[in-house]
Amino acid sequence: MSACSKTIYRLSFICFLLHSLMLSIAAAAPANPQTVDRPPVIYPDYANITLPPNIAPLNFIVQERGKKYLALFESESGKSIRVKSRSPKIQIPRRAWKKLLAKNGGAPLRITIFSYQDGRWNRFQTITNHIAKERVDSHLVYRLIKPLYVYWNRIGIYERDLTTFREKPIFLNKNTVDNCVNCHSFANHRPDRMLLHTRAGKVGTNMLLAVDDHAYKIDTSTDFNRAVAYRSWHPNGKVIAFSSNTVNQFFHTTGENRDVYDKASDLLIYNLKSNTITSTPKIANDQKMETYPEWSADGKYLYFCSTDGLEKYDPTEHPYRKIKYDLMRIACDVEAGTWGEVEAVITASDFGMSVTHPKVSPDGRYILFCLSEYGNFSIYRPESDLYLYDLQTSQFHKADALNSDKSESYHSWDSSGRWVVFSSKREDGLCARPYFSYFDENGQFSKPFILPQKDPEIYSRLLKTFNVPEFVTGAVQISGQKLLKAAWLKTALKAKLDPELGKKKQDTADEMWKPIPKK
Amino acid sequence: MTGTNLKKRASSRPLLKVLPAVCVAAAVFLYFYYRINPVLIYQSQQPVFFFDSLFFKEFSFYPGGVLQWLTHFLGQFYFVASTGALLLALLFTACCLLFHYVLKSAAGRLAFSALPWLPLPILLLLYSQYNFPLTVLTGMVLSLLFALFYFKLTLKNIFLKTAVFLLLFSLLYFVTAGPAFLFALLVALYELFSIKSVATAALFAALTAVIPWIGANTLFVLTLKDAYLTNLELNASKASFASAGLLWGLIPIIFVLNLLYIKFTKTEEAPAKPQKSRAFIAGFANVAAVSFLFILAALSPINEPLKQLYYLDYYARHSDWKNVLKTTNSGLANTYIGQFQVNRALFHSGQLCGAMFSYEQRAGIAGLFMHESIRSAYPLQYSDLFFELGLVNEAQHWAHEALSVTGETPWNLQRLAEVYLLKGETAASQKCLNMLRRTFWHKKWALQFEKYLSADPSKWPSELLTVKSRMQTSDFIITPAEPELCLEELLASNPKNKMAYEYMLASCMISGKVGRLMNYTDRIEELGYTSIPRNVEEAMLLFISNSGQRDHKMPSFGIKPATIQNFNQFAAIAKKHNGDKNIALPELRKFNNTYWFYAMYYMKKQ
Repeated sequence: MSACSKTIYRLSFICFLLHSLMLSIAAAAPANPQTVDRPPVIYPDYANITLPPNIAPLNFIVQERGKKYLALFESESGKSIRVKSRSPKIQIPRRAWKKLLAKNGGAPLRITIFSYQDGRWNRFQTITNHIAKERVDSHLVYRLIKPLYVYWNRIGIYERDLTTFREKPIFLNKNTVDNCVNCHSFANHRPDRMLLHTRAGKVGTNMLLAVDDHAYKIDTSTDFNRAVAYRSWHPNGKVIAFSSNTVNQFFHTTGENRDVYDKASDLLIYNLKSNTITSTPKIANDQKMETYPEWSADGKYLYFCSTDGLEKYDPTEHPYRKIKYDLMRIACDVEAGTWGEVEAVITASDFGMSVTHPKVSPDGRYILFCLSEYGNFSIYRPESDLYLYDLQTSQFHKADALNSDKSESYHSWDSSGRWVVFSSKREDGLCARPYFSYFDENGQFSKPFILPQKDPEIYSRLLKTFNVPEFVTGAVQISGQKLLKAAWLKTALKAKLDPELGKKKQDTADEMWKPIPKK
Repeated sequence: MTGTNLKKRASSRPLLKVLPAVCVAAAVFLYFYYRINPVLIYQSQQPVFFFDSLFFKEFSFYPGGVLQWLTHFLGQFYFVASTGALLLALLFTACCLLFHYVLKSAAGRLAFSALPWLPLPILLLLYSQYNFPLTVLTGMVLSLLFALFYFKLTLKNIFLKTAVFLLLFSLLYFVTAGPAFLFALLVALYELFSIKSVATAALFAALTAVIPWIGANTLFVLTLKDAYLTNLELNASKASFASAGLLWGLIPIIFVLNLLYIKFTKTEEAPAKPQKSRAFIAGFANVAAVSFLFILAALSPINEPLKQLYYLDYYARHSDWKNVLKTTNSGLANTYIGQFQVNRALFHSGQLCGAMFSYEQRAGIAGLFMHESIRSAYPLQYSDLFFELGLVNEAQHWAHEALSVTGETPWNLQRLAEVYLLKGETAASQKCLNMLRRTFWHKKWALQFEKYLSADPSKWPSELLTVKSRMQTSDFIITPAEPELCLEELLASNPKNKMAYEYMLASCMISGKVGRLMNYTDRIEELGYTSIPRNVEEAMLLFISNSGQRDHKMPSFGIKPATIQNFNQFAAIAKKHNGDKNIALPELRKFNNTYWFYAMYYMKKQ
């Protein structure tokens, strides 16, 4: 056989293989299948959901008996997709999926599943999902962390491209000798304005601020406050509201064993340009504890959660069950530096509940928040649920479509206001996962669905929490190398304190979360 | 004898060719199997490995991650002594054989046949430390393999050479990180001394220095220090630093010396055929030198207390309480972890309240509940205590701490699977089992345990049922500084919790609260004891003697006459010396297993 004919022979063989592969993908639906009068059980549950037209393929596992499976994906227009598999794992070809969704915004997506068992095909009832017209922000940033008790080890902040399965680390604490890293946040979902905090360890407790492709290391502790924690960027992108908290952790002997309460907390305003921290006694005083700042969409109000200071309680009894936060707001003109009066928005303590994580929708009309029995650490409260407050009607209701019997906690709106992502422990009560839901013009949420993964089995064996999911409109601009270099800078830029605030004695309580002590 | 003759002779006797390697492998195997015991290396390192792309992904973000992933896999062989010893024997031999071929390929022959075996003693010393990672050895093997491949190519064209070097170094650097420098160094030295191309050597050295820098500034997120030092183990302990540094340095030094020796002894004429006797003497000298160094390294002292510590941990993990007690007698009895495990072993062998003062109990209450300073180092062991006591939430807490400290080890995952099953959180338990199903040695356990998730609790194993019966039912806040409060709550929740009861008695005795102990002695019969444990009798006698209170409700079987007789003797001796305990010590020493002796000599030293 000549070299030429050998090549031809090889090419034909490759073509044959490719053809077989294509056939397996585009296999026709089986003839005369037995009808099963119910929808199939699939994991993750991607049935009756509304999905963004730009989401990555929703790969799943068919939890029905069978020797082989066929999944048929169809919509109003475009080429339908057929996935044939010998395993119950259905992995959808990305390009075909992308095309199908892109052509069918606003139309249904029908999934028909067949399983081959006992010599015949079974056809389950078709699952009908809805493809929304509105795209979701292209990236999601989250922190991956093992369920944290006292000692942390490996922590990483990652960016996931929602249109593909690409996950990229932004900051890994293995590069900073295992310090803690948390509270990543973006100004108006912009990938070029980001902050995160590093805590303890060799790089110290600082804020890493990334603005216009430059990274700065800022020491936010002053004579008035400890290093800052929870944050909210002002819509103008020049000012950030922070809380400064003294956190205490304790453990229960039954049920969820972790619990947290604040011993003290205040709200502060950080000005990026002047590197100055300021506040007002109205939101930074010893009589009240204020936390979880959140700017209104127009930047005229600062929303926050507030409760009485601990001095109010009987010192012989642990007060944790009595600590209940109300939702408040204060008018603020950040340009002029003037403050209005504190107003109550939801006095949850009146009905024995506690508000956390208020998040204002981009159109400024709604606030999505958590409500739990007590405290401000909703991720440790199994009864924590999401509620929606309508600023137009001043009414709120439970967002039933989103909630489960486990903890629903941190959440964020995407830039369009049509999508929300929230942390839920509904799967196992142990690890929080990001769930997405469509929010329609009538103020209704659709059934949530979990972040799709290339290998849909991942969630069943990943012992990590997806913490603080935040939408971003593009890939994070600052490089990981720049952030790392900033973290290792020997000296941090010290935030200046507004002289009008004066000094405040800080609680020197031991940190409740620590790096593992060296042997 | 010429090289050709040697070759002929060796090829005619294949056994002769492989004999040194077989001997070394056998010697290394025996050394590790009998002296070091690889299961203790496993105990020390607890390497985590899952047959899972998700697990691999964690290692794929940075240079050297693949090597770490590979050594996590190889580390699984330590779980069984024979496979662990075999692994080390094979890796040691592979390393020396590859070095042999590298030397021969670069220089044509060896100056001394013992040369490739010289790193062996250092490797032996390093891997006798229990916690020395496999990354050094495996990285070295890979680097030597790449170097050998490069030498075998015998490339002439500098562009091709550079391209091949770039490709090999970049690949090896991504896989191994630091160890790739060994490959680069050997290649550069070869170019310099053997090929005599200073330019090529300089170019390769420059590329070697620059590639990690480029990687750290573009492709990977890591510090410059990590870009160069990952997997070299030069930042470990001082001893390891010296040994690992010596090892990394020794190979290039031997390599250069061999090249130079061959170069300077090279003559145009073929060397005269050596006499048989001279060849024999040279061969013997080489074997003797290697054997001497090997024996020297093998006989050098190992860290015996550390070895005993891992034995203690091993026996406690496998509930071999008899050996736990035996091991603590070899120098660990006065360590915090030693006392903690002794008391657990005493409880499990039914001797806690009867013979706990046969051990000095110098740690006081920390000997029962683990000293705060070591909890972060032994989180799973701390979890064990709470698990056995029935404080399942606290067992969960410390199992999660263990997950942070030692990683997703099978033992940590097993504990979490048990805890979540007991709490009725089967989905969380299933998650741990799903991970265990992807392990090397614990798949079977996971498959067995999975059955309990849906089974009636009556079908559970007895150990789980015991813990279930002891489980805390009412909520309270854990106060680690006051462990007795936990015991009180546990006993209030379930008065028949025998472990909580014995730990309460032991804690009362050890902290000198004998009055408090008397409040619990009336339950002895209810809990099925047929006599009062000896140490408790001793504490009761001391209380009665000191307080004069005799109206406490006593168990029907009362205090044994022998104990009363001993107490009277003890009291008489103490009285004879007017309470001067130092003078009384020689006479009282025969009572050193009694509570009275503890109370007199150790209690105040807490």
